[in-house]
Formats: sequence, structure tokens, C-alpha cells
Amino acid sequence: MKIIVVDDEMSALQAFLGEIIGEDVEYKFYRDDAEAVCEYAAKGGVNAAFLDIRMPKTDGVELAERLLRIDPTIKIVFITGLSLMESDLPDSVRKHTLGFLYKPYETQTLLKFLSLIKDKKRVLVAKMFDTFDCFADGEKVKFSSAKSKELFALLLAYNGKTLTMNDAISQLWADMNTEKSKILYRDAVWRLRRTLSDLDIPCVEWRRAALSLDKTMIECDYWHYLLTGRGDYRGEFCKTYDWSVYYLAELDGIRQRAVSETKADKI
Amino acid sequence: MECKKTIRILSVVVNTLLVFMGSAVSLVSPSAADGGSPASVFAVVLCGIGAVILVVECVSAFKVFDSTLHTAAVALFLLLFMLFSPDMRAFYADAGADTPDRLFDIFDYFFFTGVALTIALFFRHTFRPNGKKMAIVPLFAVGILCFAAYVLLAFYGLQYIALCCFAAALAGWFGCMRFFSYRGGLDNLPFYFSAAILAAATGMQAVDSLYYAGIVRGCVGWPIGYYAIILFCFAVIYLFYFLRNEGAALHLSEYRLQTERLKLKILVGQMKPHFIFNSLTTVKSMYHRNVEAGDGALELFSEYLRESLSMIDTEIVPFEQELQNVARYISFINIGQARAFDVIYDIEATDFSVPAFSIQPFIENAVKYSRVNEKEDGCIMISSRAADGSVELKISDNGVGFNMSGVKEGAHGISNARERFKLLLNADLSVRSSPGEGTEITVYICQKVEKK
Repeated sequence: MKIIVVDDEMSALQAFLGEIIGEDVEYKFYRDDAEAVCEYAAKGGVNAAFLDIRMPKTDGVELAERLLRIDPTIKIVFITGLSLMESDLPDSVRKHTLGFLYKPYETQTLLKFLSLIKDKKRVLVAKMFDTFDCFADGEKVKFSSAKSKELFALLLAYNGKTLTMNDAISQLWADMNTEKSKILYRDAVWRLRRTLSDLDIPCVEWRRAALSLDKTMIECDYWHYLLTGRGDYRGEFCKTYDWSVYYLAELDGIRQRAVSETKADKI
Repeated sequence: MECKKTIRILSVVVNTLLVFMGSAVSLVSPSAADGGSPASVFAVVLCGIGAVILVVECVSAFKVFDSTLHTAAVALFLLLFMLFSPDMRAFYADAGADTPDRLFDIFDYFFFTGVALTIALFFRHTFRPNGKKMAIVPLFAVGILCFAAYVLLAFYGLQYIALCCFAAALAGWFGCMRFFSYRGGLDNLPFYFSAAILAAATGMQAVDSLYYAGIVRGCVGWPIGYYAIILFCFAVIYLFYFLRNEGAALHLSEYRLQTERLKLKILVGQMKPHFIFNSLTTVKSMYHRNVEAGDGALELFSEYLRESLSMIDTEIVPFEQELQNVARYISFINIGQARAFDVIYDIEATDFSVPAFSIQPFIENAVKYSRVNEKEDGCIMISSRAADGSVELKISDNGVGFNMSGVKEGAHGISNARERFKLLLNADLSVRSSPGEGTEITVYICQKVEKK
């Protein structure tokens, strides 16, 4: 994969990218030299361009237009300090724009762009065995509260079934009065919603007093285990959550079957 | 701008004076029906005034403001109407010219219809119940039909039927306008007043032709009366229109100024130098703790700064975006704190907008004055509920609260937020607080906000 980076103050970005970008990416830096950039792009094979919008000699948006004329398959990411919107871009550029990388650079955003450039389907990787955690683009997802994380785990454990507010409350806030638990439920829902929309993986469908999942955007070890019987289950499932004990019996059953099958194979 | 305004004011003053003069002249002059020359002399004076009005209108229409084209059209029809009036006919007769009565009657009526319709058009342009213009095509259709009927019926001496119909249609149209305006919450008395006299003038013309048809008696002398009435009607509308427009322009510029000032105030509030330097110090100390924590703090601060700066261009933002601003602010002030405090988001409705950075000041207040972060079970709650077409937004805390009577109106940034809710969304904000019981802020917001 080939990436061009054009930025007039590139030392910061160079260091940053160098740390993040994997070995499979070949990247080339240019300092505000539109002609050289276009020359390089004309040779072909460039997948993406990271362009600073405001440079002394070059306008990033104009450069994007030129690059797209040379090679319409190039994906554009704009580097900018200010808050910009896609609607500020001309149509011809907007179609090819993946988004904005704001200064100072955030690892999470850059990783997101890299997987978009690789055309990798972005999924949320959920690991439910042992302790529960989620990963996006290889980074651990930070949930904004413990309860919103637990709510998401419960939703994953429901495995595609709709989780109603009453179910969630009875499992997460059992010892509280109804009014207070409803408030806390809505708080957790809101936080989960924010976390997922910041990740750009909208895998939860929000309805009044119920939640459901779009399973295509998630890779979950628990689901995989239920389907195939293969996985890293060692008797622990979402171990910090009280409700997880109800799932252990089924998982243990699968494990025993798997063990006896392998024994049978050996015999 | 200033020059244009002066021309406009001058033109309005001259016009109004002329029109009132015209009305006075026509009211005191003896009617043509009595015969005798003074009436025709007055009629000539009246036509002269009409011509001057037309010139003034045309000049102001082309020099100043395009919507005065309506008034220029009214003045044109008025002048033509006067030129073909019975009084002028007496003048032409005195001068020895031939004036075929029937033809003049038809012209007279045609221009009268013109005056009535252009005034109606002017009404419609200026005055829109619920922001929509009234349908005027039916009125025009009736006007044209009545005119055709008038021409046909004139041969049988029955033209009063057409006149009565037109008077009824005009009165009906104004009635409808009144009704819709009333329902739309608009109420402008001078308009209705002048509409009523316009309809009355049409009625009088109808009665006048009834007199000539020999059906009613005792209304001799009304022709002059209804010029006066139309002129008077014109003057009232015109003055009112001018005052209204000036008022609206003033209000608009004041509104702009006010929002600009508010935005600046808020921006300065966000960007207090000490806040920036404190934040930078926090960032630095976080880097000393470890690089990752420093990165996190720096990212938060720069996002916060970016959002605050982008506020220069945005007045209202989606509620979700404002909540994000709140969340960022809270994570930022929580950096490095031993006891992190948080907001409870009791969110049900999100499909509405709020002024940018309008919720955050309340959170700041709750931290600064209600000291929720120092209390053991202290918390702030933001809740939103949909309730038939509007949203109830509540920001409450269980901090120390304050005595409402002890707080000057305008303190703690409350009045600032209140003004913005009022100006941008026409939403009213209420604050309830008492010592020891915390504070509760409630806003009712209309869900559908018209985009400007």
C-alpha cells in the first residue's frame, strides 16, 4: 500500500506516522511541492493521500482535485487544525474523501483511516472469555462508564436477541428502585451510543426501551464458540459481571463435548 | 444606506401629506352632480395631486426599494381613475370636449377595479399570516369577471349588479385575510381599518350606480366621497407599511448585533487565558506522569479548543453535539483529579437543537457554585424528554443550591444562556434553586427548528 503525505510542517506527523503505520505501508512525504506530488502520483499505484489543507504555496483541496484527475482511485484524507465539514468541500473531492485528521493527531482516528484505505471491513472485535473487552482497529475500546461496558457485554451475550430495558435493569441494577434504575439505564445507553458512534461502528440499534445488534459488524469469540465449538474458553466468561454465571453451564457443556470428541478422535 | 433611508422617509412624508391633502380637497368640494364649475376645478386639483403622488412613487420605487412598485401601481391606477371620474368629465365638458358617458364609465370602472386589486396585492405582499401569502387569483378572477359583466350590463343600465358583486368579493377577501391573520396570531388594526374603507368605497360605488339606475335615492355626491375614501385608505396603509418595515429592519439589526455580542462573550468566556494556561499546565503534568496520559489530555484539550473556536460560525447545534461538548469539558476538568465526578445522561429525545455551548455553562455553575464535585453523592443530571412536539430539557444537580432572591438576575451566566435560548429558539428557560436542595434548570424547546 502506497500513501503520500503532504504537509508543510511535517516533522511532527512524520514521527507520529512512523510509529503507527505498519510495515505493509509504503509512505512518502512531501513538503508543499504540488508538482513533485503529482509527478509521483502519475507513476500510479498510490492508494491514498494525506493532504494538509493550508500550506503556504499549495491549497490542499486544489491539490486533491489535481490528484483525482490523475488517478480517481486515490482516497483523500485532509489534515487540518480547524474544525471543517465535508460539506465545505467541492463535490468532486468529497466523494473521494475519507475524512479529516485533526491536529494534533489522534492514534484512534489515524488507525481508522488506515483500515478504511486498506478497504478492510471495520469490525468491532469483542472478547468475552475471561474478562470482557472490545477492540477496534487493533486498539482497546475505552468505554465511558463501567455500566455502559457491562450493558454492551450483556447485549452481546444475548447473541442477536432483543434486549429490553426491563431485562437489562433486572440484571444490571437489580438492587435499585425503578425510577433510579431507569435513569441509570438511559445513561448507560447514551454512553454506549456515543462510544460506538465515535468509533464509527454503529452496530447497535436503538429503540424505545429496547436494544438490538447488527451482528455483521462484530466479531465475537463467544458467538464463534457457540457456532463452532472452537475457541479460547477456559471456564471464565465476562468474569466481573454477576449475570455471567448463567452462561457458564452452556459453555462448559460445549467444552466437554469438544474435549470428549477430541478424545474420541484420539482413540 | 443612510442616503436611501433619507429618501425613503422623505418620500413617505411627501406622499402621506399629498394623499391627506387630496382627501381633504375631495371631501370639501361640492359634487359634480350639483353641476357648477367649482367641482370640476377641485377635480383638476385632485388630479394634479394624484400626478405628483405618482411621480414621487415612481421615483422612490426605482431609486430606493422594489416593493414600493406596488404603491406606484396603486398611484397610477388612482390617477387614471380620477382622470375618468364624473367630476373630470364636467371639466372636460366645460372645456368643450366630447365625453361619451358610457365609454368613460367603463374606463372609470376599469381603473377603479385596478386600484382595488393593486391595493389588495400590496396587502398580500406586506402582510402574510403564518408566513404564507394569501391566494389572490380568485380575487383577480372575480375582478375580471365583474368588469366583463359591467361592460355587458352597462348596455342595459344594470351595471350596479357587477359592482355589488365586486364589492362583496373584495369584502369577502379581506374578511378571509382577517380570519387567517387572526388564527396566525397576527393582528394589525390599521390594515383592517384601511381594508374596511376600501371595501366601503366599492360599496359606495355600487350604491352610486344604484342611484343612477333609479333604484335608490338620496346618495347624490358620493363619487367625490369615495375618491377621498380610497385616498385615505392608501395613506393609512402606506404609513403603516413604512413604520412596520422600519421597525422590522431595526429589530433585525438589533438581533444580529445582540447575537454577535453574545457569541463574542461566550467565546471569551470559553477562552479565558487562565483556563488555557491552567489546561496547558495540566497537560504538561500529565506528560510527566506518563506519555499516554499526556497524549490523552492534549487530545482532549485540542478538541475542546477546536469545538469552541468553531462556535464562531455556528449558532445552534444538534443536541447530541452539545452533549459531546459537555462530555469533553467534564473529562477535561476531571484530568488528574483524585475523585472524578460525572454527569448522568438521562436522555430520551435527541431530535432537536440547542444554541452552541448553552448547556456547558450550567455544568460549570454546578461545579463552581453548587460544588457537586465536593459532595459525597453529588451529581449533575441532564435529562431530555419528548412531549408532543416539544422537548423538555432539564439540567439538575443536588449541590448546595443558592437563594434565588440573593442572586442578581444575570449572574452566573444564566441570563446569557437564557437570552440565547430565547433569541435563537424562542424557548423559555426557568431556574429553580434553594439553599441545600440543589438547582434545576428547565427549558422547553420546539422540536422542529426552522433552518435559517
